[in-house]
Amino acid sequence: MRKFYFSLIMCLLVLAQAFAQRTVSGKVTDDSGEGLPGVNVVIKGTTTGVTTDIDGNFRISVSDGDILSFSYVGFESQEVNVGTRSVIDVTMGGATELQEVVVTGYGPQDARRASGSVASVDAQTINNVPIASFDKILQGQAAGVLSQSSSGQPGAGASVLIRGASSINSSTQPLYILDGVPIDAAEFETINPNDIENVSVLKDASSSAIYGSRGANGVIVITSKNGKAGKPRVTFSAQYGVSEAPSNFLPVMNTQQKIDFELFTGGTQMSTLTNEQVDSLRQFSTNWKDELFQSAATRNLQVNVSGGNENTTYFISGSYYDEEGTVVTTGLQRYTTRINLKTVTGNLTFGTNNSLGYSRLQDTREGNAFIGSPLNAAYWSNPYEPIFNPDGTFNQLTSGQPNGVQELTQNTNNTENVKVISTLYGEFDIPGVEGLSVTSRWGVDFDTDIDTDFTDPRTNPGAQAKGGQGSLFRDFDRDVTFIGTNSVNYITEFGSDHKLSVSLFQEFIWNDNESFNFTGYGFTNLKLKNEAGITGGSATNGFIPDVGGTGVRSSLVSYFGTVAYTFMDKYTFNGTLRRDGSSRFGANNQHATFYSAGLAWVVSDEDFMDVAFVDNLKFKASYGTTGNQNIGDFQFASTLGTTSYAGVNGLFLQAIPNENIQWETTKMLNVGVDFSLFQSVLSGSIEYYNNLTVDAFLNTQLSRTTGFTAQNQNAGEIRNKGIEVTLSGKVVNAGDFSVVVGANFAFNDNVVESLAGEDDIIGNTTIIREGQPVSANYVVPYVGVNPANGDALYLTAEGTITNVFDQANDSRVFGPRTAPYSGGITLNVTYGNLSLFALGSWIHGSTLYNNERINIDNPAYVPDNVSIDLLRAWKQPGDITDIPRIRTTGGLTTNTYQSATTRYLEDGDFFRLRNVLLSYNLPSDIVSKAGFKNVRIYAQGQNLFTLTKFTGADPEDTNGFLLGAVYPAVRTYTFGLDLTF
Amino acid sequence: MKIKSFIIILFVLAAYSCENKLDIAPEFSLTSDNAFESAEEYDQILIGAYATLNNNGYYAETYGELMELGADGGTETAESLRNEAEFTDWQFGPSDGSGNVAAGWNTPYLMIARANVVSDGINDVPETTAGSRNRILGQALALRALGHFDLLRLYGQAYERNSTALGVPVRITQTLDNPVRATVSATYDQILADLNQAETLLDPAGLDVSPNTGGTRYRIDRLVVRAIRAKVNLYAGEYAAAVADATAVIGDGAVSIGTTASFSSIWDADDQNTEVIWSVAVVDQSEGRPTAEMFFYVNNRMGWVPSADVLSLYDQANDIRFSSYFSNTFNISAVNGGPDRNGTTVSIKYSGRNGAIDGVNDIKIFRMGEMYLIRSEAQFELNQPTLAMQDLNTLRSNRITGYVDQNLTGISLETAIQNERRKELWLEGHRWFDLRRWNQAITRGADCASPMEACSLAADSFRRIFPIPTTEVVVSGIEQNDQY
Repeated sequence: MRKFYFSLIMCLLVLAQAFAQRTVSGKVTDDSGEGLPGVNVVIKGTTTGVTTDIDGNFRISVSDGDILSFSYVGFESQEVNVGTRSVIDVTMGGATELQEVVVTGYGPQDARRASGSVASVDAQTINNVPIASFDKILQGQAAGVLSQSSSGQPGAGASVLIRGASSINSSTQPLYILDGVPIDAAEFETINPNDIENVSVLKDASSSAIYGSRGANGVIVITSKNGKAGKPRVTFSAQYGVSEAPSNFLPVMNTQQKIDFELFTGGTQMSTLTNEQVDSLRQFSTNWKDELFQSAATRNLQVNVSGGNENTTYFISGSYYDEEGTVVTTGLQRYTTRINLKTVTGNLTFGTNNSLGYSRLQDTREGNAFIGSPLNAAYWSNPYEPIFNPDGTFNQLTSGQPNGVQELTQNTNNTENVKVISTLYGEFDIPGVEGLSVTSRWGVDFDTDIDTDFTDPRTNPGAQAKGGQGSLFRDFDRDVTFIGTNSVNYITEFGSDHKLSVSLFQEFIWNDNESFNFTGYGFTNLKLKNEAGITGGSATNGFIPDVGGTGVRSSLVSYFGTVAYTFMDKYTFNGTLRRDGSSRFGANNQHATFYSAGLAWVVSDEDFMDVAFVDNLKFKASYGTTGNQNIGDFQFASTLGTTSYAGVNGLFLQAIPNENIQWETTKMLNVGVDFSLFQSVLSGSIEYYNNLTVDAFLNTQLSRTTGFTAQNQNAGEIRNKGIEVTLSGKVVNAGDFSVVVGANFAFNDNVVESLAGEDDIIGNTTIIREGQPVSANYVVPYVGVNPANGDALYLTAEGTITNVFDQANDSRVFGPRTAPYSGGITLNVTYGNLSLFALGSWIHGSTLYNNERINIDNPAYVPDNVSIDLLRAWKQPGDITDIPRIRTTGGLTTNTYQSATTRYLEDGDFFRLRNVLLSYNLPSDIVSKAGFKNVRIYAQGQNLFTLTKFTGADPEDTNGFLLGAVYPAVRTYTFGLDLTF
Repeated sequence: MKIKSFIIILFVLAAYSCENKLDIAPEFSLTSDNAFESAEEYDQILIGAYATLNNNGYYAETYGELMELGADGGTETAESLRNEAEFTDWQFGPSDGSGNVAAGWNTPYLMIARANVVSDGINDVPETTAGSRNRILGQALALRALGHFDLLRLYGQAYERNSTALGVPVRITQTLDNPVRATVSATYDQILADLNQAETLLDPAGLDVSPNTGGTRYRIDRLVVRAIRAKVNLYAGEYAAAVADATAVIGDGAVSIGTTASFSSIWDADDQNTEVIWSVAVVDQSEGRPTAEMFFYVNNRMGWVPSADVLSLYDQANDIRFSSYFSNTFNISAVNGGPDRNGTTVSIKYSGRNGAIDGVNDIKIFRMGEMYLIRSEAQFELNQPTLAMQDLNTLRSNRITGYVDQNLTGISLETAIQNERRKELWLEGHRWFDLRRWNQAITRGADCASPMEACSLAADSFRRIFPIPTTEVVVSGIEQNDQY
């Protein structure tokens, strides 16, 4: 089209001279004085116009009295009366709220016309925080988005739950889309957060039904940065941070306490020692936590260049990120590059977004209760045991607890990840039909992982390996997701009041995952900790290597369409219809249809709403359906896996197939209001939703005599309903001093509506029962200790007190493990070049089950170190205490230690100051003398403090069950420098 | 021109991603549509059934070493960090839906379900070689019988052949229906029917090839079927039948009793040329090991050690079993030292093959020694003390250097048979059941690790019969054992 315009303009210019018009020239700049290329400059009411050149300059022929209209995507349009001027310079400001666009997945939409519920986080927020996995950024930022990270391990991501759990037996993880490509939620440590322009969370049917069978858990759409036309703009940023582990670990006994306690209980090695031996042990005092934790450094360097001309723009970046873990030897290194290009030639737009990342993670096992996990060793190792023997070798603890420091230093456990995400897209405006275009977008997420576990023969797992001489395990995993989307789009306006846009899509998604692994044995030379050190296996040496591998493919074929119709610029209808076919389901239920309908009404534009203090008021409502297909492949078929006996291969039936298995479907209702009052002093939104998930996957329990435990069926119903409030207030806005306070609040009521006649699904401490939340605790009420004999006392179902623990009959439901209330609060203070940002988030109403405490509370674990709480256990009649008698004599007893009680339920509420950032932009006159456009220095703190009643190191947990080996969230202080030139 | 070519490309791409992309078949597993086209292919499912036997819920732990530790054959050490409390403290409550108690229920039924896939389908497909169907089906039925028998031993309320007390659910076809508990008598009916049919099917005359080839005894052949039936009949109190079956095995000639010269090689080298009637293969550490709860292969850790009472029974100088099973110069790990076990008598049984110390050994399920003990005990019960004593002497003379035949009768003969059983079969998963058969209390000796362990359990305690896992009771509504 441009060529066509150009010839037209040439023609007009000729005409202009004939009509004795004159020429005006000028420069269009942005806020910072930078020339803006590609700005459309059009004489109002005509089709006559030009675009600005690379420096933002333009020349156009006008008549006196013409009005020039300046427009540019992302900026507020301006109109300027030419008058008699010959030079017109224009500075274009940022977009106003009403012209904001929202990302709805397959293209941006004018916020004014949007009827969906979308929360977004912009580049500024993301780039300020040195963080390995960008999903942690969502914490506290968006109402209804519960982003919890249970790990401080480098590279660990968050678990994101949008509007409550809508599934019992399937993933509740949202769908992640980066530049149109669905990406694996587990692999964010290889993506550079600084490349991200925007993260949008699609929460309701109107915004997510376009993702059909994958939209039920919400969709997180990530857009990478694109170049802006103009001279090359180079930004260099450097960050350096120091992290420390929290100090509030669960308290365990010190040397004297522990030795005395062991002598009191008996039954350990201690009671077989002589007094002299015991006394010599009393001389040692090892603080295992000090040895296992460290303060750690984080370095982050990155550079990006963007620029281009009116036809082609580019964004190029590279980054290096190096995070040490607060547990010794752990850490993450990451290297990334990105090239985003976009070029327009005539009617054709072509573009490509490419990122390449490599990361190497050295981690340690977490979230378990194994003695082999060094994070457990931090609690469980006896303080009277030294780390090293006098000869410098690692001490082997008498209790049988492996030496955690040895495990960390002598074994390696790492993951290397290479990730390529690439898209290519083309858009063609069909000439002759105004508003008709076709687009095609092709993308790939290519991901390879190499997991390596080396166990040294001197360590516990190394000595237990085949042949007892260490092992090397490597797993090579390749995962490719391929997506192709084609669409035909038509946008038109008719009459004076009608706007219509229609798009029809066709899409194909294909995933192929294959893995190969081996384990080699026999590391007799410890200088070779790789393949070269493996001893070849023979029938007698026991070093025969293991080889394995697997693979799976799946595909999704879809046809869908969207329509948006706006009347009088006030009333908009949005509709979506999507039909998906999935290889996950058998012939009976291979296809399903999802839809949504939404309405948006800009009330503030109505005549009757001519209220001075209301800038903008919009009502929106939507209803629709989305699906969840996150189950394993081939559940509809009777598949046979392989096994072996006596070295001969055999087969076994893997599961009872369900040939009718199909999607979980969530019916979503959302109503809300967006508002902006008092000249944008107060803005925000309030939303109500009510989502019902039907056909929820349910593991229908089978008698174990069938040889199987359960069969997956579409049987359950789960309801999530709630309210979300987002507010932003410009408290002070005086010249160069401003204070903006933001807050978000969400309440979600999660209830299992139906189990379709199935029995309650009872776990050891959980229950899934109709009328209760999905994540309910189910334990026996613990009421204390009988002062007469030290028995633990429980409450029966009838409410009487007993010393008989009857889990089957006396268990009761206690609170959800997932918090129903959550929110965040932000503060933005700007004073001249100085700004302060703070973010805190909170959750309320969750009841956590603290299994980590059980690991040190159970008196049977006395050979290892135990909680200091046991020191106040009942000892003699009359003792008033909360810790029952500890068994010191043999014989059967009915009052043994029990863990499935309310003793281990804890209030999970917390408020965490996640982020405080103080930054200073150096004055521009100084900066420009040095040749820079902008220089910014800042200091930042993450997780500075946490308010909680929770007793463990970290109350933040994704599923409300702290099993053990918790890698707590770290406190980080960062200093950073941004240079732009 | 440009438009047309672009649109054409678009449609080519669109056509590329067509519907048949949804028809994806698993590549790394088979489906039942394509797995079985001949009787021979059912052998692979049969292998799948065998593969459950070395699971922790079966002979590796629950029906193996834990039946010794759970009775009076061992003492848990502090080094085990109380991992075995379920068995040393008998704290399997009614809510127990996990651990080895539940696995002891689930695993045999898993094995039975796999065997039933064979018996359900093998008659619908042709056999390529005559006799292969007999060979495969015969083993499947024998495994099914064995599974039901083991479940009956652990969860059944009585052992008598005609008892109307509750046995266990009988599963002879693959179905998702909820089961009911058969009576003990009806459970035995099915076990014996399956064994009798297996005996017929596995008649060498009707087979293409023996299930056991190449000098190994990892599979069930007719000899093993008869050994299983001898044990079933002993438990059921059908002593004449037990004598007949044991005699058939002893007289078969295929396997001879191990001698003082050859006995130790069946343990340290997994020798299958003598003594071993059937052993479950353990190829490497990735499979269930028969002493996984005893040996921790680093730093000399021992989860449990033999009880002093057991050790005191042996003629330590002359009994080949003592030197094959125990050592007081054994240190597990040469790498790191750790606590020196020198001078302490610990188990070396199932400590590893050919000198390796990794716990990888084939699990002996039936041995000639047990056949003599079955016949001896059955003869005693049939009031044939001379014949009983004769078997006992035969066994002892093959175990004890310089043994001189004895001639015991009455209570002293009974005690001698019982003690011989305890010595011969230590760690092989018999003691818990034998004490129950004999209606004797479990009494642990002075080395009982009080207060960590309970030290006695009466003969009539409800804990002598394991609880059905709660999940099973909830799901299928079958009757729980008393007092749980």
